[in-house]
Amino acid sequence: MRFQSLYGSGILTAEDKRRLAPALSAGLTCSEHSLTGGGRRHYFIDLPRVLTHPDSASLIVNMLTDYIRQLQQTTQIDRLAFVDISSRGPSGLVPCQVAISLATKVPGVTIRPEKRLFNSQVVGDLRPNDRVLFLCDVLTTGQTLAHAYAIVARHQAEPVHALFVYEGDSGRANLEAVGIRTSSFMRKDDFLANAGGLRESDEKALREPEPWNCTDLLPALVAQI
Amino acid sequence: MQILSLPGNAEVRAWVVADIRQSASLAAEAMEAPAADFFFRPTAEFKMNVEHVLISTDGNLRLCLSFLVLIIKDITENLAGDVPYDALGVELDTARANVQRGLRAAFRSLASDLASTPSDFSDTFEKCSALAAEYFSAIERLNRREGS
Repeated sequence: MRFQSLYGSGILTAEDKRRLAPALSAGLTCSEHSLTGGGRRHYFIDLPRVLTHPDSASLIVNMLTDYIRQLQQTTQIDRLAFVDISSRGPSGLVPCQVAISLATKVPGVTIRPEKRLFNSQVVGDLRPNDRVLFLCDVLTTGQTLAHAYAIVARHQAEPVHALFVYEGDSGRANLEAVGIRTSSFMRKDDFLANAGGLRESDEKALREPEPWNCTDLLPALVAQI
Repeated sequence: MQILSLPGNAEVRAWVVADIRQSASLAAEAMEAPAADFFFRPTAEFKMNVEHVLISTDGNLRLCLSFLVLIIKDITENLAGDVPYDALGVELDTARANVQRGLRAAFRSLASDLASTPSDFSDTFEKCSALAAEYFSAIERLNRREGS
């Protein structure tokens, strides 16, 4: 699979966006959701639900695997990190962790920011100086990733990059403000343009501005260190 | 024809209070076991028994029960199950034993407050407060120990 770039937003080609968007729309739920960092959002893309469909799971796992292989040509990756919100897990891309690790031969670790004991926040072997690539489902405010980055840094490992399957408004800017660089397969506008068959009410919910996504992530980073 | 005879509020409250008192007494008694045999089961059972009757309680009793339900949920998520035991060992055992004592005292006090009417539950509040202080300090100590 060919990527337009390995960094930034919307790194997929137009053809791949057309393949991914309908798969993601199976996990689209349009209602009011509370965010971990406060605020609300009008819609949610439930990746663990999308991954219950074999065709969608295969598509997403193959895209992630290809991305990792191409990134490895220029960047050393020792660990793949998957973020799990323990009380609601398995969440994020945790359901496809084993498949991606098997395909790429890169060991995975699960990071659980909500655990109170530092020792149980990491499942798997994370060694000092390990270079870690984060694989995440949906970028909203970026708070969960900021927590997870801090946990990895506290273990003296080195977070090198984060890849999201879907990216909403503002999260990228929040993360960049604290020095965290991310890439994403699909932005909200790409999704709207390629999902097809969305109900009018769903499309309206997606187009609603999300001002509460603008968040200062520094406290989230500091709280975990 | 009256198909179902619903008890009045006072009657419901009396049943609920008796149930909660029994649950608290049973939990306190079960938690006399040494820490090594303790897997938070009596605590989890107490939580399950009372969380669905919270709506039938009021005032300070509801406040005490809400506190206990929430803190038990947090304790069982963080001090039970998948905590990496070999990494913390004795310190974790000590933390669990201290939290166990705190929980037992809160249950005993709750049962006693429920037995004496009217009660303002001040003793239970005090025990709940001590439990919270012990639990969160224990987490801090374990994290400092791990970081050192």
